[in-house]
Amino acid sequence: MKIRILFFFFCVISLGLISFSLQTNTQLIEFVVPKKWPKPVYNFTKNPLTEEGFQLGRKLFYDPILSRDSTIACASCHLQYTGFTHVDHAVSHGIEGRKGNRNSPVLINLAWNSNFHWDGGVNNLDVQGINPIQHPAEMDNSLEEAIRRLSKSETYPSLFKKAFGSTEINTATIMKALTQYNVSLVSSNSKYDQVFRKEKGISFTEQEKNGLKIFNTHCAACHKAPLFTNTFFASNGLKIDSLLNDVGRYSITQQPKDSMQFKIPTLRNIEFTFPYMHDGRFRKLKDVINYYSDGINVKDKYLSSQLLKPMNFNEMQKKDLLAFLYTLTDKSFLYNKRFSFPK
Amino acid sequence: MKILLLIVTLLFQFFVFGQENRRLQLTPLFNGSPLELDKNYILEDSSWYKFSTCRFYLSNLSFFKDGKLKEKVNEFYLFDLEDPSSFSITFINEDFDQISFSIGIDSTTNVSGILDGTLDPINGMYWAWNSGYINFKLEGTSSESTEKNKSFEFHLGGYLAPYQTIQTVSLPIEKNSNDILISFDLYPFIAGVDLKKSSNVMIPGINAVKLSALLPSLFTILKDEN
Ligand code: HEC
Ligand code: HEC
Repeated sequence: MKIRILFFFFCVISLGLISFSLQTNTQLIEFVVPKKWPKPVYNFTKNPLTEEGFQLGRKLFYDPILSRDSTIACASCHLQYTGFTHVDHAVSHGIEGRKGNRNSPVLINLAWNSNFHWDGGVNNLDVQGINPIQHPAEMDNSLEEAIRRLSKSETYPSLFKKAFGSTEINTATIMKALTQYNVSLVSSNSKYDQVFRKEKGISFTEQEKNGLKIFNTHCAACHKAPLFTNTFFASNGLKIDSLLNDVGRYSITQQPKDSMQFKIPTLRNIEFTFPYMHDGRFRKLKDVINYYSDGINVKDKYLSSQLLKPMNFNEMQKKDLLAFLYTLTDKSFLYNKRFSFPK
Repeated sequence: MKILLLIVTLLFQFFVFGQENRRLQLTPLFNGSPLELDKNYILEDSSWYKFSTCRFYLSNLSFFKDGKLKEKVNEFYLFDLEDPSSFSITFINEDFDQISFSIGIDSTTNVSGILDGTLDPINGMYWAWNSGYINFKLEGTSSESTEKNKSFEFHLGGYLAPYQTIQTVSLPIEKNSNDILISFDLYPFIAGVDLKKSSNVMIPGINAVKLSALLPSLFTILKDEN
């Protein structure tokens, strides 16, 4: 019995040493939480950020190799300059031009989210990437095939070895690499942030200040700073599209209270992330403001209580609100070379 | 490096599992006869059934003596009718009079992100759009199906309240012999489903809960042959 225990410890220690020696070549990156922001939700202990992991994730994100016919990359639907969404398309377009049934969301500050997709169906960022790879209207591939191709390629096995210590590629290492990239997409340097950090020479205009007041009264309960989402689900009263028939969170939980509830999206970089809403029904930010102001049917039985009081903004108020929303644009994020196509 | 790892693991196995290897052996059946893939089974009422996929997770394997938990194995076994090596589970334990195990995956594991081994989503037991494991998967064809092609498909899972589907099976062990022989007979499931009413359940929800409740009755201790 004693020998067994001793031997057990011997094994544990030697395995530990082996894995340590495999890890020593990676360069750990610290995930910087912007001042006064809440703690991230993402569990970094299970997938420590490393330069090698991040760069591998970045390469995968821009590489169509993951799609069945090697035509579609993650970046095809998530473009950096537009906050990592697909502009112009109401619903996403994937392989062979197939249309999905939802608007591709932005990829911004994902480390603070606990549910992903418009219906919150994905419960952990690490498993999100399985969806686009397998989705018939996105990359239409199988995990087996994706792994086979990456393993056969000239570059990937050594990159996986650098990042995760083994040339053997599996679902977990692909997902972890993608997550390391996705979770690093932090936007916290908009004019709004600079004003709140009291940076020199930066202040809101009168119009922006008025807009902020309106925003705090009517929008902030759901689109809560600093993330500009409280990360919960709500219904802003949009009438169901009879073709898409998307009931939102209900399709995940099967609970009537979740009917027509959608994930509250962040409004960071909203100037550039059109079209808007889960089905991309509004092309312009002005249309969104008009909708909140005058388009909500307060008798809608799914409408969240925060929106029961009609806003009926005048033209000036609408302009003010719009001006405030533009302060959420973060060019240093949209043009950050670290996130762009790897050369 | 690989060889070193292999040697270490082999030695480890030798020392830890050494002499006392015992097995839990599942015998898959349908209505008492051996369960085989794609074989046509005709019942007394002349309805017929063919099974093309039968897979499930077995987890939380626990051993009890006089009502007290002695050991719990932290493994997630994937039973697959296509792979006879998955019918038996090796374990070490000296003295017990009861075992229990779960059919399916607990909620903590369901929210733990990407996992490998038997829990790798590549095994086809994972929903990506509604993150979570499929606890039990049964597919095939039957005269009773309402589908045009006579197919039926049951993908049972779901961990979110109030639609949790994980099940616990508890079995008394009479004699402490080497192997524990357990029969796994699909018949009570098929009898309980009523294919005429529902030939497909592929999402978490109330139907998955109802059908999952049938699963523990599929497991019974076989008479010991030693
Ligand atoms: C064909 C277009 C398309 C491709 C290609 C695509 N996505 Fe997406 N992505 C979407 C859509 C649409 C959604 C929303 C899905 C839903 O809500 O059901 C989404 C959602 C996401 C989300 C969740 C964001 C959130 O806040 O909920 C992440 C993360 C993401 N995609 C990352 C990726 C990665 C990584 C890849 C490549 C492996 C990828 N996407 C490829 C269209 C695409
Ligand atoms: C009850 C919570 C709630 C309140 C209050 C609220 N919203 Fe929203 N907002 C949502 C939800 C939920 C969505 C997503 C709806 C969908 O796609 O079906 C959304 C979507 C949006 C979008 C589209 C974002 C995108 O990426 O597509 C914008 C812009 C927006 N809201 C602005 C506002 C403004 C401006 C206000 C205040 C006038 C406001 N919201 C008030 C819940 C709310």
